[in-house]
Amino acid sequence: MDWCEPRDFSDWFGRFFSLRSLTFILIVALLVIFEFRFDWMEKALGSYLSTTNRQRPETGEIWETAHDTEQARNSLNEITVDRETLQRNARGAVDLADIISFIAENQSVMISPEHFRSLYMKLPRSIASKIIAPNDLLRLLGEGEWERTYFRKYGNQLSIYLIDGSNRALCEIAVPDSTLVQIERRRIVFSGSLEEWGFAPERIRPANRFFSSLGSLPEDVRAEILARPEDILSAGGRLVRVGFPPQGQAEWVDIGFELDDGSQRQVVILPAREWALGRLRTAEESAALSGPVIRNPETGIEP
Amino acid sequence: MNRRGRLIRRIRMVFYTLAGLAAFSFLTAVVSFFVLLDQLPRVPEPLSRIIERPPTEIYAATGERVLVLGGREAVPLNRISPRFVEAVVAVEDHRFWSHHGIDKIRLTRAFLDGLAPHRRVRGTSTITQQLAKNLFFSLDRSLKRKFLEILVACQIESRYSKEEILQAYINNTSFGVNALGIEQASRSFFGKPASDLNLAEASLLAGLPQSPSGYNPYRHMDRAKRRQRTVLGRMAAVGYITPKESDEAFESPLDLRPRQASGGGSYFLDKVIRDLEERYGPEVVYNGGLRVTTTLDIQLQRWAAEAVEKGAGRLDREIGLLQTNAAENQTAVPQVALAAVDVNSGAVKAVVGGRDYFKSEYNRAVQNNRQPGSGFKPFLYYAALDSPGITPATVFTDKKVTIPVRGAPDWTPDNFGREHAGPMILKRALMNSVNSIAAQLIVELKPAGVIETARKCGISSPLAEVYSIALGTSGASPLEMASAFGVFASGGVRHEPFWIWRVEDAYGRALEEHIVSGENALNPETVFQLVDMLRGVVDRGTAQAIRTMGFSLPAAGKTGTSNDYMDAWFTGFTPGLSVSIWTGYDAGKGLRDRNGVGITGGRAAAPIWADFMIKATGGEPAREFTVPPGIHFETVDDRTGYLTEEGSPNALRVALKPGQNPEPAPPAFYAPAAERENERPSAAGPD
Repeated sequence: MDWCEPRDFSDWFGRFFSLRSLTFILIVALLVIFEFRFDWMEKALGSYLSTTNRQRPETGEIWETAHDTEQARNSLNEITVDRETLQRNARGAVDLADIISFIAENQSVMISPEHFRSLYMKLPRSIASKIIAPNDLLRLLGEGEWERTYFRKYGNQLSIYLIDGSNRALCEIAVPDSTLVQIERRRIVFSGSLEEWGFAPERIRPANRFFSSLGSLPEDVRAEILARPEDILSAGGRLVRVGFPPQGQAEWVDIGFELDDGSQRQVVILPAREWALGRLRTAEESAALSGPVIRNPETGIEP
Repeated sequence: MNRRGRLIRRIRMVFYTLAGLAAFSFLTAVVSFFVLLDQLPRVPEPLSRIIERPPTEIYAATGERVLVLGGREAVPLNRISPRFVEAVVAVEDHRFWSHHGIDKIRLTRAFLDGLAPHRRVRGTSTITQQLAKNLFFSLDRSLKRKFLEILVACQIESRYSKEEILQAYINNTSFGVNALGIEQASRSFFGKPASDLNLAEASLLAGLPQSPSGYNPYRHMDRAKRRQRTVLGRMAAVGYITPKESDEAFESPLDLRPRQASGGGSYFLDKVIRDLEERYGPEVVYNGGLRVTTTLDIQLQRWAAEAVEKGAGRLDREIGLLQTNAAENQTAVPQVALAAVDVNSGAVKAVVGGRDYFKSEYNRAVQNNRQPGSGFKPFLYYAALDSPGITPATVFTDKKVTIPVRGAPDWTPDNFGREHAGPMILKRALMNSVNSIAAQLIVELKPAGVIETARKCGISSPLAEVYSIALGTSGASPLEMASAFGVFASGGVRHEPFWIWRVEDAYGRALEEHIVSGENALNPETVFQLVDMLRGVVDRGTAQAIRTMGFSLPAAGKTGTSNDYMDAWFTGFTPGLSVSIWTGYDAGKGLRDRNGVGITGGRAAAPIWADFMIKATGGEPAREFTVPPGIHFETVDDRTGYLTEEGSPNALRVALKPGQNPEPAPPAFYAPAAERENERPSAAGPD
C-alpha cells in the first residue's frame, strides 16, 4: 500500500487516532514510563558495558595514579630487596672480607655485636688491632649498650659504627683503604711450585736471601711486604723460595711463598705493597747479596 | 491557502521536525556509543581498588603523625558519620538511592530550564556521574566527556551496590587544603575522625566539594557558612532533619582546628618532603606509602611558633607597625626565623621559617643567607684561643684601628657605640662584642684560620677570605648557626644536622635510618674556654635581656647585628639544645624603632630565644657544661688581666688551660694610668 501524506486536518486527526498510531504511541509511552520507573535502558547499557570492561583501556586519572603507585611500589621493592639481599649476605658472612666485598659505595649493612666479634676474631692480630683494640672491644661488650654494628662504605673507606639502641654510635671506626686491601686479599694456598703458578724463574729468590734483604729494611716497610707472617706459618712446611711479580703492576701485588713439607710443595700467595717491594729490590741490589741458588726440584731451573 | 491549510502545514512541519530530530538524536546516540566504546576507560574491579593507595605518613620524633601525603585515607561507610552521608546525598543527589546512575527527572527539568530564556540551568550530575568524572575524566566540559561520563556511570551502577558507590565517592572527593576523602578532611578541619562529625561539621564539609577553594572556611568563612545553610536546607527539605535541627546546627559554633596547628611544622615538613623527593623521587613520596619518622619535636615546634609570633608582634610594636599592615604584606614587615638543634645528636627539633607559612613559604631558617654580624665572632675567638699565647685573660686594647687591605681602601671597623674602652681582656671584649679587638685578632690569625674553624663547625655557606669576616660579613642560615654553635655546646664534637630518623616502606621494611655519630672537630679545652666567655655574653654581656626575662639555666650565646641593622641575631645554647634566632626584613631595610634607633640582636632576637627556651627547658634541672680535665678558673681584673680578688671591681672569672696562669698585679701596676696606656700588658702570664 502506498503511503500518502494526510491532506487535511480531519485526515491528520483520523490518522493520529487510528488504532495503529495509538498502539504505537502507547508502546512509546509505556517504554518511556518503564524507563523512568525501572531504568531498563541504563541497566541494559550498564550490563553490556560490564561485559566489555576487560577489553577497554586503562586510561583516566585513576589509572594513571594506579600506574604511578605501581611504579612507586616497584621502586621501593627494588630498594628493599637490594637491602634485604645485602643484609642476608651480611648475616651469612664468615669473615670481614665477605662484607667488604659485597658492600658497594654508599651502601650499608647491619650485623649483631656477636657476629662482629666472630668476624673480628678471624682477622689476623696485626689487622684486627688496626680496626679496634681488643680491650676496647671487650669494654664495649661489657658495657652492654652495644646493640648493632653498622657498616657503610664511603669512597674507598669503610666506616664501622658500633651503635646503641637509639642509633647512637658508641664507637666509630674508619677502616682505611690499605687495611681494606689487606683484609680483602686473604691468604691463598695452592699445591705445586712457584713456576706452576706463573712466577717467572728470574723473579724467584731463595727464602734466606729474601729474609736477609727484608731484615735490612725499616719495620714499617717490612710490614708492608709481609704483614701477616702467621699466614705462612699456619700453612706448614719449610719455606724454601719466594716469588715476586713483575715490577710496576699495581699498588698491591701478590708475593708467592713456596713451602716444602717433605712430601709435597705448596705456594702461599700474600699481598704486599709494590713500593715496599721496590725498596726490597733496591736493598737486594745495594747489598749485592747472592744467596745459594736453589734449583726447582721438579724442573731443575735455576732462578 | 486557507487558515486550516496553514495550520495543517504548521502541524506537519512540527511533526516532521520532531520526528527528524528524534531519529537523528537516536542515531547519533547509537553511532556515538559504538564510536566511543573504544574510548571508554576500564572500570577498576573491585571499585575499592581506587582507595588502595597507601599514603606517605610523616611522624614526629615523639610518635605523633603530623602529615599524610598522597594516598587515600579511605574509611568504610559504617565509620563515617551518618549525618555526613545524609548531607552529601541531600545536597549532591537526593534521588541517589533510587536512580540508576542518571537522574532523568533532574535531566528533564534541566532540559526544560534550558529552553526557557533567562533561567539558570541546574547541575544534573548524579553522585555516580561525579564519581565517574573524578575517577576518569579531566575537568574539560564537553558533550563527549558528558556522554562518556553517563556511560561509565551506567556501568558502575550495574556492577556495584549503592553503598560501594557512595563510599568510593566520599573517599575520593577533594575538600581542599590537600584533603582527599572525608577522613583527611575531617582530620584537617576538625582534628577528629569522620565518624565523630556532628551535624554542623558534617554539613559544612558536605558543602565543600562543589568549590573547595571558594568555600574554604579558613579563607572565606562567610561563604562556607552560606553553603552550610544550603546543605542544611536541603537536608531539611529531603526530610533527613527537621527545620529546627537545621537552624540549631547552623547556629552552633564550629570548632575549626587552628590552621597554624595543622601546619605548625610546615616549614619543617617542607624541608623533609624536599629531602625525601630528592632521595626517592616524587612518585615514590606521593604514591609509595612511606612511613617517615622525623626529628620534629611537636611541643618544641609549638613553643617555637609561639615565641616567634610573640617576638614578631613585639618587633611590630617597637617599629610602630599596625597589626593590620603586619598581617597583609609579608615583605613590609620584619621577619623572624628560628632553628633549634639537639646538641648531642644534631637532630633538628624545631624550625620556624617566617612569621606565617601560609603567606610566605620561604624558609628563612634554612634557605636564608644573612650576615650574622658579631654572631660570627665565636669562630674568630676559638681560632684565637686555640693559637699559642692567647687566653681569655690576654689583654688587648680597644682603640681605633686601621687595617691596610691590599688593593682596597683601609679597613677601619667601628665599635657599636663608636667609643673605645681601652685595655681589656679577651673575655670582656667578647662579652661586650668589641669590634676593634676582633679586627686586631683577625689580623693576627688571618681570615683563613677563622674560616677553617667555621668550616669545622659545619658552616657550609660561602665565606669570603677577607678581614671583615671577623665581624660576620659572610652570610649563613639560622640552621647553620644553630648547628655550628652546637659544636661548642657539645665540647667540640660535631654532629651533622639531620631531619629524618628513619624511613620505612608501607610494610614496615626499613629503607634508611640515621646513625648518630659525632666527629671531634674542635679542641675540648679551647671550646670550654669559649663557652665560658659566651656564658659571660648571656650573664653580663650584650644578651643580658635573657636573664632579665627570667631564663636562669646555664646558657651561652652571642648576639649579632649586621650593618645598618639589616639583620639582628642571637644564637645560644644550653648543654642540650642550640637555638638560633634571626630577625630582619626580607630585603633592603634595616630594623629601626619608631624613634629611628637601630634594633640590635640583643633587643630583637635574644628575647625570642629566652621566650622559647624558658618553655623548652621548663622543669629541667640546671645542667652545667662539662668542664674538661685540666681546666682551672681564675679571677682576673678585666682591664689588666692580673689576678684579683673575687668581688673586687672589674673582677671577671676566666677558664684557663693547664699552664695558663695569670700573674698577680706587679707594683708597676700602680703607676699612673697614662703610662700604662702605651704598653700592651700580657697579663695572661707565661702564655
